[in-house]
Amino acid sequence: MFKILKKSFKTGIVTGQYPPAPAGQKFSVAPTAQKKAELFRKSLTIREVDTGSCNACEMEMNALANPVYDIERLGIHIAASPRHADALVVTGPVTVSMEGPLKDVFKTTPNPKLVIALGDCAINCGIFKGSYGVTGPVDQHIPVDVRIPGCPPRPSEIIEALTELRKGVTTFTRWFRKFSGNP
Amino acid sequence: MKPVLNPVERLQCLFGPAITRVSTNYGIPVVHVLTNQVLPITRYIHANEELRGTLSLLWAVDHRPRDGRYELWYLFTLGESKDWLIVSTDLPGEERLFESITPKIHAANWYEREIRDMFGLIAQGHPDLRRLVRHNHWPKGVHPLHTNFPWNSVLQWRQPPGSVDGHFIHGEGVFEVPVGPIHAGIIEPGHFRFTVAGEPIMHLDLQHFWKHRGVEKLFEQQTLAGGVALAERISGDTTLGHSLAYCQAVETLWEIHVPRRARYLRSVFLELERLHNHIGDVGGICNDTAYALAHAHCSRLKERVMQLNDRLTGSRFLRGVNCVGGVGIDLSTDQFSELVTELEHIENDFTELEQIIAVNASLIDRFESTGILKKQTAWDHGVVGVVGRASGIDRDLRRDRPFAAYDELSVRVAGSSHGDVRARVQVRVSEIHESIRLIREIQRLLPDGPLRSDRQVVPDAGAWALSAVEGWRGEILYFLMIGEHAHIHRCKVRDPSFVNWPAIQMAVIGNIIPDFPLINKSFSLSYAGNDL
Ligand code: SF4
Repeated sequence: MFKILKKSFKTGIVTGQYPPAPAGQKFSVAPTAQKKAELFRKSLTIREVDTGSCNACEMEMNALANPVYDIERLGIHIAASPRHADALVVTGPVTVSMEGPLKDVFKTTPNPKLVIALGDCAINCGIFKGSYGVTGPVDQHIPVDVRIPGCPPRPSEIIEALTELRKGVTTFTRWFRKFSGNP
Repeated sequence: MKPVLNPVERLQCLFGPAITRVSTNYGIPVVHVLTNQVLPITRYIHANEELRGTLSLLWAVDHRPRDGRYELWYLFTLGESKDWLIVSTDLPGEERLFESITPKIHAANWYEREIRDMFGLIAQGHPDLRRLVRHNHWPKGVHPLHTNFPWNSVLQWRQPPGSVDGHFIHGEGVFEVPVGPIHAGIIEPGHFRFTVAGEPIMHLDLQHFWKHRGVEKLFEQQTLAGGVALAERISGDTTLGHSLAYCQAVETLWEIHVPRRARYLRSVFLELERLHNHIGDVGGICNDTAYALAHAHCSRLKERVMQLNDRLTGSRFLRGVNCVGGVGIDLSTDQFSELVTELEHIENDFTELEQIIAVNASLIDRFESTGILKKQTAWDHGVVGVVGRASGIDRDLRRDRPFAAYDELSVRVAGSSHGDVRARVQVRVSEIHESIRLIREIQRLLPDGPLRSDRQVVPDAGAWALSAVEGWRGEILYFLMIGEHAHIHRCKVRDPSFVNWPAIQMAVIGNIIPDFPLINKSFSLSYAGNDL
């Protein structure tokens, strides 16, 4: 027991101990997505779907949950089922066999929902482009709202994109708009 | 006194007329045999007390456009010496049947099913000829590795798609629990079908290859030098292992002698990759027993190693480190001292954590006697790597077939004979310490010199090479054959996951389903590397 406490005290708080994302915004957000994302400003639940990645993109998604990045502090959770999700994060090119499951997942996710294509493969099939086993990038099968390029994108870049996406407008501005009649 | 015969002479004595040709390719003996004699010969190699050959790889090559034939290759690793021996045979182009060796050598099971799916060659007498790679919605008669199959014709769905043909067990109180392809965590897709009666698992049927991206066919569109990037992306967590194995194969063909400094650096990076994966896995295994504390500490340490990778090479996954002929990234003396100091901190940190984990009774209770893989089962399946070593299969390529700088380093191979989850954790923990020790040793020995050297020869079409690397999961094998215009004619990739997955079906029997994630994590296999 004392050992555990000692270890925890010795370690201290490691959250945030990572180099900042390289400068220059690389991710892109579809115009309609910003509005949708407003709803999830305080809390966003993500479901990750792998449709044929090399698993490095998965490892970076997993890294987001470790104590160093700890995305829970930003109000982002990872759900175990698409039914609980606000956003789908899709990694990898869509393989022939995963096309069906991907569409099923999309259907089961409640509206409104965001789709985030993570990594070069999900955006344009990357190095697997054209292969007989790959039916196309994610946006060929389901509408994509946010694209985060990289092979794989660093966790810091993913966090940056997610933060930027949810910045949106403040509640005050929304009230102000409502009463002043300006949309 | 009887003269001591080497394995090839022994086969020649016993099977003289069946052997049509014996040759040596870059030091590997190849015995070319008549097609109808493959079974007795391979069986002899496998079962003979002195040879005790494990089937390490079985693959086909399509030579039809040029020679009107297929070629089947069987690679054996011999018991004591760990030497390689290849048996190969020709199959006339119009022939579609060959004799299955699975009834005698169980390890051939998935390989033969794979050959059927990819080449349309049917292993006669195979006990289980269900589709493996081709899911049931794949159109009939499509075999992507035929040379005349266009690499970029995207497969269409067969309508209506066929039904799942699992192995079903019927009976009162017998239930089936299908899981996947999409799982609850952030994991890769795969379908598991458990049959249970009460709590214990009676049978597990794996259905993989959801992520089949056609990697082997994509290699055939590449030149030899251009394939490195693809090799790095076969299984992201083994980026360096795969790229190293690929580069070594090309280097053999081009007769490149990799400079000593580059070989040492390759070993350093390979150990770094082993380190971050093993630390992550120890945490992951603890997490599957709901021990979140160990998981948090381990993922923190893993992150430290990955940030270290990033600082040293510019990539958290060590992408772009290897190139044909050497390495693309050098480490200065300062960087090396930073590396060693950081690893020292990590090791101390990890050792403290180990002491906490080791005395946690509820953890030990979950680990011990869970998911036992017996030595005999492991041997029959040809299991490799960490999983094999935890079940008493004493094999490690770093010691047995030294590559990179391992011929000048002494690797202490960890092992256990229990074969349960605890044994697999222990092997990982020992390997973590060993990796750090090796890097320290390399710091002492690291020579100066160039980082890469150039091509010496341009081999003819038809030349081939085999290479092997002990990645963090186990043996990674590459077979590379050159075709016309210096393009790749065939590249057979084997990730250790491909041989270890079938063994997991045996390890779970008698365990309860809630223990499956734990057992699965203790195997820690790649889906991407398996599906290709
Ligand atoms: S984008 Fe890169 S890291 Fe991500 S799945 Fe594709 S190849 Fe792997």
